[in-house]
Amino acid sequence: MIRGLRAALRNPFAWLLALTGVVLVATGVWKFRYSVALQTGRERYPDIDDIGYTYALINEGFRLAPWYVGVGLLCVVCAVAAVALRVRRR
Amino acid sequence: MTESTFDPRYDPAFQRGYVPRPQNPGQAVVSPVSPDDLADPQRPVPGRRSAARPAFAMPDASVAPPAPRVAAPVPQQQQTPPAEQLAEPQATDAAEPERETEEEIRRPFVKELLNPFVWVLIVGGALLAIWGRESYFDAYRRQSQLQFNQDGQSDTQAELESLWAVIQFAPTLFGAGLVIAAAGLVVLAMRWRR
Repeated sequence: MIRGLRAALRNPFAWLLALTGVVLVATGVWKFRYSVALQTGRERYPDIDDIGYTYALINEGFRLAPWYVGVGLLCVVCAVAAVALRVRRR
Repeated sequence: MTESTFDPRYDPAFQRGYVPRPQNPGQAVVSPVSPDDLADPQRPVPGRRSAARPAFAMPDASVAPPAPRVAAPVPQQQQTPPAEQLAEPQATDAAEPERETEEEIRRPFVKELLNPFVWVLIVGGALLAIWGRESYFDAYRRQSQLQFNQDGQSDTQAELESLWAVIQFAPTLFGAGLVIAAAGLVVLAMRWRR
């Protein structure tokens, strides 16, 4: 067992950060896939009368989803780093 | 050699560890005599000169000069670590996780949550992200309305350009908000029970 690992894993903020990161990555991937499905016609438009909203929804997957995924991965990496630094210090 | 000299080696005022005492007017002057001086008969006791030897005489060759006295070590307190130091997790690393109570875990958690700067990061970042996303959607909606209903006016064209700028910059605003909010969480995670 790595010294101090159990104590480091009890860091609630690291867990919160990792969970946030996973949720952000999953959201980004889902939004991207949804946008692709809307564009290719595999999914129906949620509101056909509001064409502006539909455009925004389609483009969200291509312009906002990379931010979701990128920041989510960053959160996971930072959570692992927080635990790793704690282990090394003990 | 009749020259009378003052030899500081035999003066108590020049001995190592000499502490001058405050002298009362009616009290006799008593030179500090250490137990070492009393134990060593060869050692000239300051303030108590022998009758055979004049007060101001050259040091006797037969008498060995006083060895350099090493300062007596100050009696230190027993260097035992305090009980709370022993109770720290660093001292007993192997078995400490099991001994921490729930209260000990909760205390730094609440303490870190009371940091207002972290809350500024988290709340400000979240608000920035929400603002960026909403402005992005609003800009797309407004742009669609203008494109389908435009009548070639210059005001409409100027608004379209500004909306296009919002559409271009809103994702960056959204990403920056996410990063700032994540930075607040990173600070909390890094400072946890440091």
